[in-house]
Amino acid sequence: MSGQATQRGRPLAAVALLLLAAACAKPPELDPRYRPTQSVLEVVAVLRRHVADDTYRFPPARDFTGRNVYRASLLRLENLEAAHADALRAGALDDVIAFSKGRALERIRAFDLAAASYRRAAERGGPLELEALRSASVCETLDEAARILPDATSGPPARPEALAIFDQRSALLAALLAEAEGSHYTAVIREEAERATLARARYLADTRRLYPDGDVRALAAMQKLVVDHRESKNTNGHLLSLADLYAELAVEYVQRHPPESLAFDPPHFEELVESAARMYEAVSNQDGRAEKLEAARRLEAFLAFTLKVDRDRFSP
Amino acid sequence: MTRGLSLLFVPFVAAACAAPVTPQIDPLEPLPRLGAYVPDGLDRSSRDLARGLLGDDDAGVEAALGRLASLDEARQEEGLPPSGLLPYALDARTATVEDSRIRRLADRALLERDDLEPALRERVEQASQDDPLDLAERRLRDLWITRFGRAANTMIESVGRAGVNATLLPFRLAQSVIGIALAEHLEDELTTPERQALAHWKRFVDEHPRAPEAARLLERIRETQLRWIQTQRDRAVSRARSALEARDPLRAAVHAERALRYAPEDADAVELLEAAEQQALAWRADRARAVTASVASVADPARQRALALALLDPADDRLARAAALAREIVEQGPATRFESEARYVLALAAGARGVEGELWDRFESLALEDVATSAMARHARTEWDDPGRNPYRAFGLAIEQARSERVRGTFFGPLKDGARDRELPRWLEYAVEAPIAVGVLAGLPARLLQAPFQETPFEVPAALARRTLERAPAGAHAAEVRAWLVEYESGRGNWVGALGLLEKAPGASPEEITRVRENAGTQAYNASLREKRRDVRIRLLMDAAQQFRGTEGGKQAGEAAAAAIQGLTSQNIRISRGYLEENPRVAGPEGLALRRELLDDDPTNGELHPDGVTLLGERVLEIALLDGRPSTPPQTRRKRISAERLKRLVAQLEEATLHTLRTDRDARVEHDADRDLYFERARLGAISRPDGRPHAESSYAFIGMRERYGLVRSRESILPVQLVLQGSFEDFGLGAFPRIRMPKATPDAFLYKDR
Repeated sequence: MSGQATQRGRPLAAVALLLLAAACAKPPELDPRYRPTQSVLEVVAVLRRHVADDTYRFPPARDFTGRNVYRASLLRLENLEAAHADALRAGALDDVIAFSKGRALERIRAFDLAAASYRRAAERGGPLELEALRSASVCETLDEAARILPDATSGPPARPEALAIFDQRSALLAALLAEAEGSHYTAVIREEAERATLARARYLADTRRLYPDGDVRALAAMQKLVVDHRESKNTNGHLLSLADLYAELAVEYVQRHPPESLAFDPPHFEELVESAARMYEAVSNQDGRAEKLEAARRLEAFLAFTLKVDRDRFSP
Repeated sequence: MTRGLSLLFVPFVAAACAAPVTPQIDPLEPLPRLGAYVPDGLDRSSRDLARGLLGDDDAGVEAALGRLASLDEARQEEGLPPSGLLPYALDARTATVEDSRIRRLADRALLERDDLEPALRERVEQASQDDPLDLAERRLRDLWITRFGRAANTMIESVGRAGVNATLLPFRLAQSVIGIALAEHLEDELTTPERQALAHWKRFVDEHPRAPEAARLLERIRETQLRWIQTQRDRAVSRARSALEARDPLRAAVHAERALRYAPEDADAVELLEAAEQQALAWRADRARAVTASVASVADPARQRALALALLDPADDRLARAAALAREIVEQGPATRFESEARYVLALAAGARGVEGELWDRFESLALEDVATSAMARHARTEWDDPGRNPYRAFGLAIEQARSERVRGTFFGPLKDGARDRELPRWLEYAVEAPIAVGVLAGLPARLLQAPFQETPFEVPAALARRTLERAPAGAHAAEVRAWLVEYESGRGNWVGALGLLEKAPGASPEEITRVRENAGTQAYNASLREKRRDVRIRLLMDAAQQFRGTEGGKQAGEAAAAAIQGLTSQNIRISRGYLEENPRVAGPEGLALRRELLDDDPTNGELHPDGVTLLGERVLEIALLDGRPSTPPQTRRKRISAERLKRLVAQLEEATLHTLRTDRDARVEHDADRDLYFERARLGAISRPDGRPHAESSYAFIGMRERYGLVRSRESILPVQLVLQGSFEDFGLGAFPRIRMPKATPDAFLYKDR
């Protein structure tokens, strides 16, 4: 009996031993660089460093985890609030956290949430109240502008109405830019103005086949975007979009007028190809930019497409 | 008496020195009228043959061929040369054969005849060679020659270069053996020629699925396809491994998964995928942990609030109050709570005051702290290390790196970065470099001698310098960085870039600006001339003239722009005199009908200038005539010609080009779509008005062979071996040795290569 019990107990002992060993084993060492946030001040200081950043001209900063610094700050503040709700109940840091969240939210285009956060910070009174109210007002206008879009629920809106709506959005942002001159909002508003111009250009590109002058208008809108926002961090992206549009037009032209047909007009095709190639090339020469690789590969792909066209119809 | 004699000589001397004057004649002869042509038996038989071919009338074709053959026999009996039509007729009959294999057999039979004109022979030869099976075999033969040739050439070269300096022979031989082995090791499982052969086999099977060769080929295709899959798997595994080594688990996982799609359950790929997933998991866990909040994060809320409010206060944009509070904390010692945060705030305050040097010094000091104890060290390190945020530091590092690379290159040559990556275990990579090390050592004196003349690659520092100025054009380091960039741009001849920088530099000397501006004007002028598109070229010239007014380059640009605008024509297709002499039918009555005297080398009756004739668009020609001496600008005459003359000229030009291509194996097609469009419209008589679009202009030139290649044109050798005389400054080696000629890559080879 006791022998049987001993025999039965052996595997159990082995399992227990294994479990003990596992429990005693040293856990994998955690990289101290990624330890949790140490204080509210840590988040606020990092955020403050980047409030004045010109995110219109330069890409937004990234924190040590590789995340967008505004988004990382927001995540940290929200986790702080969630993890220490009890400790924060006294409200000593309410306005600081709400105001900081507003600063982070407005940089990731959550203007409505940013405005609400600022209003919460203002409710607490104190030294941040006035700035919080002013920021809330700016964010509300930015939110209003971002929502101005042609209504596409019942099919694509007619061009004149759509363009009037885009103009209204641009006008609102232009007025806001004049008001916010000198503040960190200049960069945010210019980013929004760029988005408005981009939305207009995209609308014209999307609807270009519906109108006889659609291609010309789409190209003009895309060119305007490139010229108006040549200082933007996205300028290479805009150039790539314009090059893509030219490339698309070249492909469509070949589909409509096969190169072997008499209707194929080599100078017209050459113009489209040259425009696309020049722009891809210009971006692919930008040392140190991520778009360089994108442009180089797209140029190669586009030139591969032109291989299909007989050399006596197109000679690069 | 003397005076009288002198006077007598004057007219002779004057006559001898005077340039021959171009007579005022029409340079073109009237077009010859074509009389009514009465067709003979050969013409009628050719017509019947064409009818039979177009109407699918095989009997009619055979009858017409028979008649042509008997008519040629009759000519032979009469002692006349053969008409030359029969080979063309046989070729035309072959064109109706649908099965490409039978068609190629017929082509080969036609080539057996000895009465084919060279142009026809060339075309039939080309057609008969377009055989997928032959092409595949040729690609495989190319591969064999490449492999054998590479090994043989390397060994022969090692021996051959020992002519002067034989001491290094053993090392060179060892180096060659290793080189051959490595080349074989690094070669893909399926090489480019084999992939080309695979494509040819597939084409054959697609075209002739029931051919007796198809069954055998299917087996070869299957085998080769398996090797192709193996190649893809090997590449994906290799890329996954490299990505994992570079601690890029996401990219490694993508490549490992790709390898698994080619080879499911492949042990290496599975192992790599697991390792990549583990790394990715750890990375995600770290990222998630970094945004959580520690227990102590809300401690001492009053102090945190005070400093946070000071930091966020919009009224205090110089952060004076925040700096004062932070200083209080720092003064209490390093163990004080929020000391790290306070030091970060002090750095921010320095930045807000515009003291950039202090900002980065403070960040550096924080960045060097232990991340386990200092909360802000990780943030400061990110700022400090980021070339986007701190480009000045990155600029300095890049310069150091470029210089160090140059020094290492001088001392260690190809081994400057250690053993090269050969996809082998690292120790083996070092082992295979051992014989090279001896050569590297021997080449050191030569590299030291060359070192002062070698340029340091400063592209990366230049990009970072530009970024530094972009971020802070008036920053603490702007003047230093701008001066460096001006020197760099001037050094590489980008004077326009250097001028742009100098003009923005406060305190730049006016003399320096003037000097750089002068060079920039010349650069802009030369760059404008290189632009191919006419309208863009004119615009660039005008811009250069305006922007660099007062400089020599600006002046030249203005003159060039004016000349370009004055000489605007819709086309500019030139036919040189040399070309017209080599192709008399183009200039003759069946073509342009140029007056014969213009090409007879007799200046007294007028002579065509070497520039020849230029088609200016629509139906306008410009004929360049000699003004006595070839070096002086030619006299030009513009003439509007008839549509018929233009049609004939274009047809003869195209015939001449086609004939050259068919009879000269080294000739290459020179494509020009705009020229061809103009010719196409001219042939159709559809040129009613000039096409003014810039893209419609062609500036193609028909140039004679002699003008292009001189008296003796180099031909490509048909021998499989060439003799090479080679010297090296590296080790002062000199030698002469034969080298097996390697097969050239086919024009479509790029379609089989991967990046």
